[in-house]
Amino acid sequence: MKRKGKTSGSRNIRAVQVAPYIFIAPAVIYIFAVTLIPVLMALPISFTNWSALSPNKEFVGWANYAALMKDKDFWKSCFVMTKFFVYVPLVMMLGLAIACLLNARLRGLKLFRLIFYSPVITSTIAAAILFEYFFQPSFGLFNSILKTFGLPALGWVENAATAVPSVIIFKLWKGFGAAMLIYLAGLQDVPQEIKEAASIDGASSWQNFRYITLPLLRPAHIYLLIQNVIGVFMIFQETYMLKGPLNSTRTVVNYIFEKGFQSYQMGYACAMSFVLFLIVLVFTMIQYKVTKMDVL
Amino acid sequence: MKKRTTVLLAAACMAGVLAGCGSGASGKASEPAKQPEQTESQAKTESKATEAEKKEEPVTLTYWQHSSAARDEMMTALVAEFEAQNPDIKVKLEFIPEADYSQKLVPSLATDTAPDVFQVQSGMVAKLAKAGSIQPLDESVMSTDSIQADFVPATVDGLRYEDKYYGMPTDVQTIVMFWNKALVAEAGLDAEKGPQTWDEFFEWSRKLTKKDGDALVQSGWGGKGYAPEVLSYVEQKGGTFFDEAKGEFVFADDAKTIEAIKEFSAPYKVDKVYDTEFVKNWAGFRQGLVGMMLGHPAMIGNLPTTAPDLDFGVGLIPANGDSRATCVTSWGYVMSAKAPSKEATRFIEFLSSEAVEKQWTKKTGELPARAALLEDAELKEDPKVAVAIQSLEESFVGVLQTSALNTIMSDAYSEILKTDRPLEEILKDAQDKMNAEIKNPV
Repeated sequence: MKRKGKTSGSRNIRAVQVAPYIFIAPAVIYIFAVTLIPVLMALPISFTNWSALSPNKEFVGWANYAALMKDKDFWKSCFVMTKFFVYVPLVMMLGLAIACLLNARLRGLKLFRLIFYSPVITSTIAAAILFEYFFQPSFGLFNSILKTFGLPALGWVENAATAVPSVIIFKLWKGFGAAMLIYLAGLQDVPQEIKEAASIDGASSWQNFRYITLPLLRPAHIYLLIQNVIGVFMIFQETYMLKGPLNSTRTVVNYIFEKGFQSYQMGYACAMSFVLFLIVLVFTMIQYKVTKMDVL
Repeated sequence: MKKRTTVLLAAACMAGVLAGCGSGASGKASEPAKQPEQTESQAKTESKATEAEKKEEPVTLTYWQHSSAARDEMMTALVAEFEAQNPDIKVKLEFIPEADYSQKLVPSLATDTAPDVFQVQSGMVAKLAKAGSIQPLDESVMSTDSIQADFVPATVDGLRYEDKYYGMPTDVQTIVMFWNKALVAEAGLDAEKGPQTWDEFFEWSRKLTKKDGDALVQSGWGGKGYAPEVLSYVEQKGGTFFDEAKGEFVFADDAKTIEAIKEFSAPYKVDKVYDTEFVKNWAGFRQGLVGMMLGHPAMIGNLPTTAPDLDFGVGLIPANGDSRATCVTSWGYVMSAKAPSKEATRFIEFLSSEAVEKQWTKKTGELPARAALLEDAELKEDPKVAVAIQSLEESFVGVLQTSALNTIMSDAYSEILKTDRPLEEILKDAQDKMNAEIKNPV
């Protein structure tokens, strides 16, 4: 009997040990099959002159990487991409503000959450077409609003100076719902008793928020910071649809797409992708060091 | 451990970008492309060996069509008609949304799994032929001589590589002129005839422009340098954009071309008849905010649907002296290197036959490529379509018929219009980029 119990116990332990792997297996297999393996296959391609118009390719050594170092358009597109980092604090602040509002006991709370989250699940392409109309200089919604307040009309996406802020506005609309959801989950985990104790000790609402709520949301801040910084590195659809003049919104990924699918220089495009990958890696490592993160 | 997690997280997030590059690598990367000649001879041998089988089992061709509601419906009917006429051939028709077409076609070419017959921008034909991804039309079905005799030269010139035709044209477009009759009449101009020469056209664009202080309230001409318009003007002015003998772009070194581009951009830059920050040009034309446009004849069919209340006139491109030369752009039906040569050519021949082209023109507004249809009384019944067909009479093939070349031109022209950088410098940069683009080894 003892032996039986022992066997059943060790089986349970084994089951407990194995179960998590079974649960994560579909996601891991998916990531390996459709992302990591193609990534590994793209590395050797970056050392070829492959056009993608036929299976033929020739090994060119480091030529693509050497050309990349001298490619002004690549570095210009990197510079354009850096302008989009303004989006990160903006989306986090907006997400937090809305989450705080929705964390209060309001009527129709679920409806508001649904409304605010719906842009996240809307197709970027469809939403961008809609915003293209909003941004239309002559009859668009945004200029109509500006005119109502007696403000001068803007060129929005059609002006090189306002094109990036216009895309950021679109991206904020599209992305704040996701930040809101993460913060909302975080806010609901903040223990009420700490806040109540602070209030009894005379802390104002602002002090409560500044010194209790905000620090306790640290894991949410770090998660959103990393997720959105990487998101900025990968901006593509928004700038593909809302294209500013003079390449004012051409990001690195847009440039990679142009080289790969318009110029058919797939080897070169792969080399650019790997350089971008290294840049993201370095940024993530720096973020890791700076935030000494404990959420992963 | 945490470091490793971080690396993995970053890798997973970046994988989306990189996966695009790797998607083509899963195919037969080391297998050389079949040469057109090999495929042709193989097809011939196979066709003899399996002749008996073929009588019982038809050859199946796969065909990719970039999708739009009107085209899909018509192509489905045409395929049924073709199969009825050719019981030995079946066509498996696949419609691909236009936005995804290139991204689906490129990986299929990369992995040697392209459809038998498909459409490409005609500027891609030489690249694909050079890469060995497509094969020339079967001479026994469509001979070079018959193609040269039966088709408008500008519609097929871009489909030739090393003296062989690799495809037949579709979506043939020239440049014609559109004007808003109400706005033109209001300005006291002839709303029925339209401007005839470039001097008149530029004059009209100034007269049709209205401003409130410095701000535009009506644009005379929504021109922002669409490549086929610029090429047409340069051609009429005697400029040389591309040197066939050298096989390179020379526009930045050609004084006549530089002068022509200066003149063409002056209405925007100097006279301020349009500003891209005012309104999108075609949207503005539909709304009565833009007086004139140059554009493709496809708009003749499009405008009545998208702007039913708009009363517009259509005319030939303005003339410079005797020249009304207009640039032709087109796509081509081509066949992959592994397609059964005869059967695929027969299908392409059917799609470019006189009867099909006539139907196509009547239903979609795209121009015919067969010379015989230029005189077709039925097609010319509609005066607007008649103008479009007439425009083919003095036409030349466009040299910027790939997305990459078009993008370079569009970026350069945008810089000309929106910055003070010397035009010569901008053109020189664009020329270098275009030459690098076409010399890029495949």
